[in-house]
Amino acid sequence: MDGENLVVNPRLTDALGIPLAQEDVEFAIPFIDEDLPFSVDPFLLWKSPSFQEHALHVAMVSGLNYLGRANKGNANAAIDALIRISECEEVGLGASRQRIGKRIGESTAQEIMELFAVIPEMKAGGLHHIEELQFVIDGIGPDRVSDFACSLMKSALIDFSMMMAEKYELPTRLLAVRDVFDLKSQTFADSLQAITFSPVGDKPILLVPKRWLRKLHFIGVDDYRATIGDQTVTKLERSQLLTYNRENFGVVRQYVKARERSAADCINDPLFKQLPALSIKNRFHRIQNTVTGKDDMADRRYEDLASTLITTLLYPDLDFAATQVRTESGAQIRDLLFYNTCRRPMLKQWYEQYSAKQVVFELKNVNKIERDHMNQMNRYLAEHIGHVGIILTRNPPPASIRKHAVDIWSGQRKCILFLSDGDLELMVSLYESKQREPFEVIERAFVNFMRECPV
Amino acid sequence: MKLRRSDVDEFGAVSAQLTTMRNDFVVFAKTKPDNALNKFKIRAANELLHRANEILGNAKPLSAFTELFEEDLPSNSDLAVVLSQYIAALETWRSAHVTKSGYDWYWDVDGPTIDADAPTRPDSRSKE
Repeated sequence: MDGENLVVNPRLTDALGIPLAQEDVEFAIPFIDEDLPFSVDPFLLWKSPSFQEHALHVAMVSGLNYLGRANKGNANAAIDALIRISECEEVGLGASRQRIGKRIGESTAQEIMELFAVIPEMKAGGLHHIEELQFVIDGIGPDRVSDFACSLMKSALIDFSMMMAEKYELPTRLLAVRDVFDLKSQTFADSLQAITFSPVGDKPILLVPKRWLRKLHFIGVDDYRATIGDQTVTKLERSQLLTYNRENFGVVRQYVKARERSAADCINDPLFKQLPALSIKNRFHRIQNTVTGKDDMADRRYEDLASTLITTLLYPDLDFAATQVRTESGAQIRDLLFYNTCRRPMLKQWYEQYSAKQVVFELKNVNKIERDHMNQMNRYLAEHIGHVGIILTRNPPPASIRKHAVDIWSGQRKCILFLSDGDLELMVSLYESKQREPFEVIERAFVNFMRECPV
Repeated sequence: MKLRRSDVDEFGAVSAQLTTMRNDFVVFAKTKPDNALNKFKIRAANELLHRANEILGNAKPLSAFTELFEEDLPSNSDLAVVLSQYIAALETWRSAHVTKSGYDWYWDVDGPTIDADAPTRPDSRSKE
């Protein structure tokens, strides 16, 4: 499969044609083209009440310690191994826009090896947490720590991916997963597995449990600087700090111990965080106070407010995919695209009858919707995205525009729905009162639209 | 046509329940008129409205309305209005089914007499 006919910013499940809501699955649904901006925090495994997860942490750290302490005869092999495990492409976590990260260089690998000879605490007992590397090696950050962790527990991630593939009926393919760490022999080898894969490029994809992900690691250099309480350390440059930490590794250990004591505060980050009801209400009031048109950048302000509002209101029924800005006839149009999760019967109907793999929202800060606006939406509802679009605007459309929408449906079977400030207000009140789901306002718009369409 | 005793009993039950529900929703409608009703409340209201429709027959207060639809997201004030209409229609229906004998009012029933309150509507309005 090539990437041309995929939806915007496709996720694994969307590319495979298996609509799933992120909220309903245990794993983080990876993107096909780019990394998910989260990382595995090994501390979450360390603090886990699950014996298996804690044991995984022990295995990861002992694997890294084994490599670091390799004797002179095996040093080159260990350096090679450290370089190979410094990037775990299969999980697709981090900040890369291409889903391909860079490995560490030989000099950095060498530096890691040297730590075990130079720092007495590490010489005696090795690393206690992989995150400790960030405090003493330049160029090692949370993403790299996450990659080390994923590489060292690749075998467990393969098992997890297989389990998820079976549970959610994700297709698998017999592919070689590279550099799988074998705890018994402390070596790395390729492993041929029937594994989840990316339909673009036929590469293996490993799924990661959501409960292991955070944006910022619990043991981190910034937190260390902020909490250490020593002004001289706080003001040090990064390079000076690394030297300080190497010479005073006990201070780092004290910080790590303190973090271990506050382990109860460490929880995973949600992949999407909804705004609180109060914030939603405030944003809606600001929308109400925004004039229509473009004066004083009112359109931009409306788009910013409405997009944050709608992404929260529709979660988890629709997962936010991307914002797209396009220019048509000299006018800039901002679209919000959502993955169709098929979480509700109506979404399933859209998926099946209107090929709506994604649902498009167009934001229009205009007093009155014109035919041109509808035609722009109509042109945008292409085959690969689907045929359901929603125009979010300030006022209900006039009868002539509603009729035009019915005509488009009659001729091309494309659904163009409208949501006005009044609908948005109802969605906000439903979000606050929790009596019904905000998505039901869209369902109402669809039902009313279908009542107008000829049978 | 004379009523059966069971019709009078059903009227008493439905009328009382609708009045209680109306009283509740009048309060909700004052504080949060536009709040959407949850599905449980819609089902509960519909159950009563169906029973009222059975009693009223062609004397329904709103000819095109039979029940609330979940997908229309009816609000507290919507339901308060509907319930008030039904209570008024039930009272009109009751007024049409009571008769005076001496100084007292009775239901038009077959069999033993049943006391009734005086009608509050002109009896011509919904005599069947």
